[in-house]
Amino acid sequence: MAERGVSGSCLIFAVFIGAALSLGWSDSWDGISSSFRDVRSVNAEFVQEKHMRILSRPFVSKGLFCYQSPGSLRWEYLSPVKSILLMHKGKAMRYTEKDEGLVRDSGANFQAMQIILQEITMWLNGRFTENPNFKVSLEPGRKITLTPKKESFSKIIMRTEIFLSPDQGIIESLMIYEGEDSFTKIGFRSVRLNETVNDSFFQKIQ
Amino acid sequence: MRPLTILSFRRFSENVRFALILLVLTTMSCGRLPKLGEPAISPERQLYENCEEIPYLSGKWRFVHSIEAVMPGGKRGTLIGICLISSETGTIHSVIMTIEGFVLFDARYDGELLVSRSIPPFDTPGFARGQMEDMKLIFFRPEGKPIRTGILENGSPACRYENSDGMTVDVIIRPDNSWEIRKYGRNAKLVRTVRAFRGQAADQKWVPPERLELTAHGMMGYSLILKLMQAEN
Repeated sequence: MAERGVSGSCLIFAVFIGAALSLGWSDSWDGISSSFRDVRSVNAEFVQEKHMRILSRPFVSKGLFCYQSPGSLRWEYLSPVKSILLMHKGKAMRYTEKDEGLVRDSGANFQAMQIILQEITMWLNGRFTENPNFKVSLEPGRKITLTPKKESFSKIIMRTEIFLSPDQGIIESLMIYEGEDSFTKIGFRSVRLNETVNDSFFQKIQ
Repeated sequence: MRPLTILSFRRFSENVRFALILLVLTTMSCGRLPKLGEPAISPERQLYENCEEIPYLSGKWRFVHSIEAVMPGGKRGTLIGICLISSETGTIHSVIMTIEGFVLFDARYDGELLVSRSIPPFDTPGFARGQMEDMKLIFFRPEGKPIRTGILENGSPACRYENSDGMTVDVIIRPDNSWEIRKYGRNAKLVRTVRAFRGQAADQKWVPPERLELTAHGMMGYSLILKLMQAEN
């Protein structure tokens, strides 16, 4: 009888500990910031779905994602168009597969992407609240919503929703809304944290 | 001087009649001479002599292309183009986005142009209009009536259209059934070239080309390579 009481207490204690661990990190800005502070690198696969009224089904792209603190990024699309986006120490470039192989892009459209990239690296650092251009709210369901304050910007991106993983320091998915019927969903999977990545991986296409 | 006998008169009149017949025959044979310099035309090419029989996009299509662009000044970039086109209504809905899914341009044309989204560098006043003109050139039957058909020096049959603005469009069918479009300005200067590859006009039906190359000629020239990723009819 006494044994049963001890084991019951242990079970309740374990449930409380588990609940505390699972609730902890994504319930407050402090918890989120401290969890992301421990993340030195992220390696993941991603699936990107573009939803638009003009499409009969989502346009799906797949690739590999690698981030290293404080601001290095390699965003590699494997299909349907092979492309590698590199960012290191504030310098960004994109290579896209053409008839002659991977060729560096120089188009002005890439400048718009650089702004978005800088925003993403801030999120991966856990700095969700630092951009004064966005109103940020932490919502139930491990969801962070960023809404542009300026109308001129909201015409470009209506809002961004970031869904955090139950596992600490991991972003599970992103939803970028350009309009109610046009949005991009990026889901991350096979996420590995804090593996050592050589700087050259963010500088050269290799 | 010999007197003019009945016999000699008869001979004279026969000679005159012979000369007249010869003259008439000669005149008639001039009008019926076969045209010189016309190349032999195979049955396949014969088909395209009639411009109306050239197959063009028919019905409603949805395309997704990767677009490799070389812009004025040599700037290069790759984009994704999505378009919804109807030959029946003459409408076009066009979306251009980055590989990362960021929409840079969204516009519709249904006789009037409506731009719902345009982000630099696609926000210039002439871009939307020029883009729709390019798409019409690629996918729709040329405006105006065919004014001439013939064989080019390289042996390809061509059909020439002229529209009310004085622009001329040549539609050229190659021996492998791929096609080329050349658009000329009022001064007969080449302004656009469209080349389609591996799209075949099979059984008189239009088949979406796997690759399209558009070149805008001139000072602000640019080139686009469109590679087909999805096509739905």
